[in-house]
Amino acid sequence: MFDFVSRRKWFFLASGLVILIGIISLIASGLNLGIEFSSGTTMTLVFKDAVGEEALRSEFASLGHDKASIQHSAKDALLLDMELPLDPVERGKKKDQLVEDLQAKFDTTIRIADFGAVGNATGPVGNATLALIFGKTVDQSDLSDTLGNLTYSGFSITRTTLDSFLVRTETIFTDEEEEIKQELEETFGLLDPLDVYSISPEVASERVQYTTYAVIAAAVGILLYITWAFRRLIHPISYGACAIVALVHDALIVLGVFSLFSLEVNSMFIIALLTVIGYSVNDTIVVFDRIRENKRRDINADFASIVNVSLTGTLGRSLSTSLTTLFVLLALLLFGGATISNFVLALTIGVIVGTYSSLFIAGPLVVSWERGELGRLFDWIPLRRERG
Amino acid sequence: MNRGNLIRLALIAILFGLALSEVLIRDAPSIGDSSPGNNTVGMRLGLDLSGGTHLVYKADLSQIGNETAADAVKGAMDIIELRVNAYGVSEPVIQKQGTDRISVQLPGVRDMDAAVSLIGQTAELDFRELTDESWQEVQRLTAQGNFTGYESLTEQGILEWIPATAISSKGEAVHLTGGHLKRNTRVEFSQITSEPEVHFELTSEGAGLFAQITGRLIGRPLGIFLDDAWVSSPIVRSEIPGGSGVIENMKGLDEARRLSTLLNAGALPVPLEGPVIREDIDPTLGADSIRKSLIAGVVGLALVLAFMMLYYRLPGVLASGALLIYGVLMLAAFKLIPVTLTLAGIAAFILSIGMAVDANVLIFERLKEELRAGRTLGGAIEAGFNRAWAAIRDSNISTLITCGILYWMGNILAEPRVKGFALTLAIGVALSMFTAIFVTRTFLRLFVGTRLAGRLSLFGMASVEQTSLSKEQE
Repeated sequence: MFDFVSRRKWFFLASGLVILIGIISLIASGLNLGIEFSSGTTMTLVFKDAVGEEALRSEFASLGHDKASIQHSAKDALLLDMELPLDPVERGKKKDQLVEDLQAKFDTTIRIADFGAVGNATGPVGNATLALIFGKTVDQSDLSDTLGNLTYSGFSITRTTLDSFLVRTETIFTDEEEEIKQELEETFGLLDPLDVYSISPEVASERVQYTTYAVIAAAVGILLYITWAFRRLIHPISYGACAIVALVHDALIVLGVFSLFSLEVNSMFIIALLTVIGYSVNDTIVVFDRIRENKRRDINADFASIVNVSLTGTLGRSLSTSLTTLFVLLALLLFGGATISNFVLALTIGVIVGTYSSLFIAGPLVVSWERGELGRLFDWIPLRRERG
Repeated sequence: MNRGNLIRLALIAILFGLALSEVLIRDAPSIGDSSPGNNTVGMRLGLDLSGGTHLVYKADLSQIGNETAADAVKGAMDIIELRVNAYGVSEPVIQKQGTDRISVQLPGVRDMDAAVSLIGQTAELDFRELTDESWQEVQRLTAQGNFTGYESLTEQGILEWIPATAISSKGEAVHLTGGHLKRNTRVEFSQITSEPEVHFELTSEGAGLFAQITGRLIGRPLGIFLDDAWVSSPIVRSEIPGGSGVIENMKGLDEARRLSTLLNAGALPVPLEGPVIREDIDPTLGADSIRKSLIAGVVGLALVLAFMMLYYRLPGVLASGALLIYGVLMLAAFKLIPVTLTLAGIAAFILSIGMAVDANVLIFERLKEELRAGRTLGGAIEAGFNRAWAAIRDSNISTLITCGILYWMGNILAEPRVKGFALTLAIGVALSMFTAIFVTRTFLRLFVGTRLAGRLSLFGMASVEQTSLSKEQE
C-alpha cells in the first residue's frame, strides 16, 4: 500500500514550490487579461487602399491612442461594386441578406467590409464597394454566377489583396469610433471596422469584482456544505477547510500556468476556473467520504492509517474518473477548434492537478490538522512562542 | 427477474422513447420562419453560435426617482423591442441586467452600425413652418424658375423652419410634435401615386392645434421633421379639423413601416448611455464551432465508452448504455426547457459526459470491493449503490452550488456564455445522478439470479481474485 500520509511533507513542499513559481510570475508579469476584464476595444480594420503599419500606428497615436496594439495581415478579397441603400438600417439588411445568400452557396466564413458610398450621394440608393473576404478561395466567376442566379444585378467584381489590421485600444464608444473612422478615412482612404468587441471600463471593473465575489461565494458555499455533510465527525470544519485549501491550490496552479505562459484570461477562462474548483471539491469529497465511512467503522484505529486506507481505497475511482474526463478534454483539445483551446487547456490542467490535490494534499492535510501540525507551522512567529 | 425491476425497466424505456422522439422529431417549420436562431435540430442557438450583434446599454436614471426607475427601464426595453422588430430581426433577446443595464442580442444581424443607429433612433417627429423671409424666398425662386424643391433647399440651409405652434386649450402656445400623435399610425398606399405613406391621427389637443396651424398655413408648406431632418412638406390646401394627416415622400415601403412603428413606439423614457458592451460575432465562425465540437463530442464519447467497457467489462457495457440514455435525455431537456445552446454550453455538455461516468465509476469500484469481500452479486449491487450514494450526493451538490453561483454571476454580468455553461452543467449533474442511480442499477439487477452473475470476470474481477473467492465460497 502506498503511504500517502507519512510522505505528506514532501507533497506539501512540491506543491508549495509550484505555487510559489506561479505566484512570482503573477506578481512579476501578472495575467494577460482579455478586454472583458481590462476594458478596451478590439476590431479588425480593413482598408480599401494599401496602408503601412507604422503610418497607422502614428495616426492612432495622434488620435490619442498611443498605446494601441496593431497587428497587420493581408487579406485576399473580392471587391463587389453594386448599388446599395444609403439608409444605414436598409443597407445593413441588404448586407446581412447577402452574407446569408452566399453562405448557403459557398459554406465557408464570409466577412463583408463596406467601403461606404462614394461622394455625397443623395436619394435612396448609391454606388458602393463591398469587400468580400471568404474563408476559402472563391473564384471571381463563381461569385459572379452565384449572384446572377440569385437575381442580383448591376454588379462588377474584381480580385484584390487588402490590408487588414487587428487593433486593440482603450475603450472606444460608438461616437468616437465614428470620429476615428472619419479621420482614418481622410488619411488612408476608405475602410470598414469589422468584428468589433468593446467593453467599457465600468463594465470591466464590475466583471473583475463579480468574478471575485463568485469565487469567494463558491468557496464559502462549499465550505459550509462540507462542514454540514461531515457534521457527525470530530472537527467537521477541518474537512471543509482542507477541501478549500486543495481548491485554492488547484486554482493557484492554473492561474500560475496562465500567467507564466501569458495565455489570455477571458470569461471562458473564469468558467474553466470555477469548473476546476467544482471538480477539485468533487474529487476531495469522494476521498473524505471514504474517511468518514472508515472512521465510523473503526473508531479506535489510528487516524493516519484510516486516511491512508481511504486514499488507497478511492485511488482506483480517482484515476478512472480523471482518465475518462481527460479523454473527453483531449478530444475537445484536438478537435474543438481554437476558440475554446485555452478554456480546455485550463480544464485539463485543473483536472490533473485536482486529482493530485485530492489524494496528496487534501487527505494528508486532514491528518496534519488532527495532529495540530498546522498550528505548529506558525511556531516561528515570536509572539506565539511567548504566549506558549 | 422481479416485478419491481421490470416496471423500472419499462419506465426507462418509455422515458427514453419520449426523449428520443423529442430530439428526433423536428418541429414543423412555420411559414416565413427562416430565423438563424434555429438550427436543424430545432435548438435555440446562442449568439456565439448563430452570430449577430450584442449591445448593452446603460440607462441614465439620474433624472428619475427610485420608484419609477424600474418602470422607465422596462418602458425603454419595450420600445427597443418595437424598434428592433421594425428591423425584422427574428428572436431578438432583450434583457434587463442589474438595475440599469439593458442587454440587446440580435441574432443574425451583422451590421453593428445599423443596429446601433436603429436602437439609438429617437424618432422625434415635429411640425414646422417657414419663416416669412423663407416663404418669400420660395416664392421668388419659384417665380425665377429656380425652385429646386424643399428638400435640397432645406439641406443647403437656404430655408429656415421654425416650430409650428398654436394656442392650446390652456391658453398657452404649444409646439405640435409627435407627442400629439395617437399610437395608431399606419402605412397605406397613396391612391394617386401608389407610393407608401404614413397615416396618422392626433389626440384631441393635437387635433385642435393642427386645425389652427393648417388654417393659418393655407397655400403654404407644413414641414414634417424627424429627428431634426426634413421628411416632407406638403402644401396645406385647407384647414384640417379632423385631426388626421399623412406623411408622404417615404423612400420605400420598409421606411414607411419603420417610421410608423417608431412613431407608435414613441420616445425612450430614459436616455441611454453606451453601448457599454458592443460585440459583433461572425455567424460563419459559429457554424464552424458547431461542426468542430460535434466531432470532439463523438470522439470523446467513443473514448469514454471504450474505456468503460474494457476496464469494467459487463457493468461498463451497461454504463455505456446508461450513458447513451443520458445523452438523449440531455438533448431532450435542452429542447424542452429550452436551453439556449452556446459554445460554452456545448463544452459543458461534453464535459458532463466525463462527469456522468464518475457516478458509475464510483458505484462499480464499490461493487468490486463488495464482490471481493465475498457478497453475492445481488447483495454487492445493493451495498455498492448504497455506499456510493453519499459520495455521489455530496460531490454533485457541491458542483450544483458552483453552478448556481456561476448562473447568478452570468445573469448580473450579461454574460450568456457563463449562464449557458452553468445551466447546462446543472442539468447534466442532475440527469447523470438519475442515470447512474436509477438506470445503471436497474440494468445491473437484470443479471441477478442469472447464470452470468456467477461469472465474476464479467464484472472486472481478476481471475486470481475469482478463484480465491470461489474457494472461500466452497
